[in-house]
Amino acid sequence: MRRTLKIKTRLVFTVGFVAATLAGSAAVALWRLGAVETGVEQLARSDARTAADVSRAYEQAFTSLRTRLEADATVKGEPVDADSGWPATAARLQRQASDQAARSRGAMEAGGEAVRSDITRGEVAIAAALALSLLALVAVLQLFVYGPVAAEAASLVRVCDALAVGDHTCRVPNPSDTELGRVARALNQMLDNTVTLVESRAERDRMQAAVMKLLEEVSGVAEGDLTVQAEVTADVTGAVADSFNFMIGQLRQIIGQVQAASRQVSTALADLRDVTQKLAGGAEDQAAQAVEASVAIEEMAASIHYVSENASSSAAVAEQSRANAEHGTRAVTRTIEGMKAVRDQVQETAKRIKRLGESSQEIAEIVELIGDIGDRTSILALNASIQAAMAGEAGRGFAIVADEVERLADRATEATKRAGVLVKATQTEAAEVMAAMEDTTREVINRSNIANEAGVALSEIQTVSNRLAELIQAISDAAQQQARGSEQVAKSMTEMSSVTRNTASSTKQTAAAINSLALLVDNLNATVSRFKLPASGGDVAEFGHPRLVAV
Amino acid sequence: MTAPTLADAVAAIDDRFDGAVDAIVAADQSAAGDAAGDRYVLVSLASTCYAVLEAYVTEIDRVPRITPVPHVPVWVRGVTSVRGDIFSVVDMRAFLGLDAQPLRTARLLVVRLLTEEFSAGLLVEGVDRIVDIAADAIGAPESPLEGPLAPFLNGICTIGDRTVAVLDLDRLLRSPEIRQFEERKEDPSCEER
Repeated sequence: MRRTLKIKTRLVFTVGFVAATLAGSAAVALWRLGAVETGVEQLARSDARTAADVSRAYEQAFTSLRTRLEADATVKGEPVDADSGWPATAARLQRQASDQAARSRGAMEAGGEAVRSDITRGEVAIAAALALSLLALVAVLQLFVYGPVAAEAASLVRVCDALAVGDHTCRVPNPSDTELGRVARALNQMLDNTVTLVESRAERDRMQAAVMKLLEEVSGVAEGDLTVQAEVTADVTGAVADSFNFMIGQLRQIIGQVQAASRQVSTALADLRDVTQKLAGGAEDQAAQAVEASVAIEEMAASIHYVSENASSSAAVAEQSRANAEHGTRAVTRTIEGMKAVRDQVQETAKRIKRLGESSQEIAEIVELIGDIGDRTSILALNASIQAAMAGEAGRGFAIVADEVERLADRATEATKRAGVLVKATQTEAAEVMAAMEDTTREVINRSNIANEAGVALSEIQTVSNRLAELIQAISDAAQQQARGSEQVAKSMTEMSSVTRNTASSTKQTAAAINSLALLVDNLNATVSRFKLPASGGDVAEFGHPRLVAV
Repeated sequence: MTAPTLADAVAAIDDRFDGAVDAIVAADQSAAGDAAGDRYVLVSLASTCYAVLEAYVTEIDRVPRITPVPHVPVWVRGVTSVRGDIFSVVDMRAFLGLDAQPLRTARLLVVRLLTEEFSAGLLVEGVDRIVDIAADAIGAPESPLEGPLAPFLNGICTIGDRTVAVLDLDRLLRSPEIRQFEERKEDPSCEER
């Protein structure tokens, strides 16, 4: 209920009551006491001032005296002794005077103090009365006014104090519906607004600072210094810095690659220049060699033509050989047939000779028989002759006949002997002829076999000759083809020679182009060498690129 | 070769035959007053030709089958039988000290003594022919003859281009060797009986 009361109402009641009761007494008492105290105060202040003046006068006097004495002593050449002589005396006097002044000032101060204590006791009494009244007042105020109001005000004060030191976070807790509460509410509202306002501004400032810092950090990049690294903070610019770092990194990588590539291009250009020089030289050599090769190929074509002609001749020879072999084969066949006929005839002849031998045997037997008959006839003739002799004269003619018969028988015997010898010789010859015939037959068979082999060999020769003719024909064809091919090769060599000459001129143009390219690469190197790269990447910031020599 | 030779032989035989007829006529004509020589049989023995008087020869034949006899010299081949007569056979070759040689031309001469009954067979190498030899044609040899038959030779003569030794069969058959053999010969015959 009390919180619903207006402060104005309460103050009307309370202050009216208290003011009525205390105002007069308190005012009077205080007024009086105030006057007394003022007087005392003035008195004490004048005494103190007087004492101070006196003391200061003594001090000055003794000081000047002492100074003069010391000066005299110095002039006279006496040693200055602080504890003896005139200066010491003056100092003692000075101390005494100071003590005296201090004592009198203490006495006056003690008197003033006594008066002041009295006044104070009166003031205490008044104050006690007033305090009692005030206690009552305070109790009332505490009960009705100060309690609720002061608490709220204290909160306000606390908030304001905090605000005074810049603490915008403090708020009045739980504001009532009183005016103070409304004030507190408004204060809270204001604080909230202020805080909001301040926070946005701080944010902006911070961001601006961060952006500035970032710009400062990365300003080197514009001059090509890629070694810089933006600080990555937690605020908004952190992401930017991160992106920037990433971009720098990428840029660094790209520049590094560009530098490396530029170096490689320089090196490659140097190599390329060498190669081009060699190529130009090689093209000239090649042109010369092409000419030599053309000559060689023409010689080769002539050789191939010669080979072709020889192959044609060989083909004719092979054909002749084949024909001869065929002829030989026919001759061998005829020979074999002839030998067969000879063999048959020999066999027939042998048969006949054998029969002849058999006939000779019969003849021999007959001859032997005749011989035997002749022998017997001879014996008979001899006996007849003997018998005729025994017969005496009568048998004389008979003896002659017997003689003659005997002679004939002897002749017959002789003839049969000769016939036998002849027959025997005939038989021997027949046997020899038989053996010879058999030998001949065997020989004929052997010769037939040899002739057969010769025939086989000849037919093989024929086959081989055919094959040879085919091969030689193939060689001839191939040689002709080679001749045509070599002509084409010679033509190609000529074309190649012109191509090589073109290549040589092109190579010179290429060399010129390479020189231009080298200049471009030099420019590129100069351009990219402006960028500084961290040494950690292996790439030095200032790398030397190979200078290209003009071709 | 054989045929012409045979023809020649036949022609020769024809010629001979014609010649023989002429010879017979001639011999008949000359036989009357020409009885100067004796007929001898020419035998060949050890490359030498011997002449034996035809009168001592009764028969000439081939070598017959001879039956050997024991206890006789090697030149006594044995005994044989010719037409019923049994007599000893003397191998003249062995008698001359040569090896016995069976020849196709070997002949058996059946000889006899003219004065007494004695026959023997002589084996010779061959019988050539029967010739007439005049008595004055037989002469003494220029050098003394040697050999086993030397004591039985009458002399030598020349017929054509051949030198012929004339063998005296009478002396031979009466010689001690043959006779000794002849004595022995009686024994086997006695035994046979």
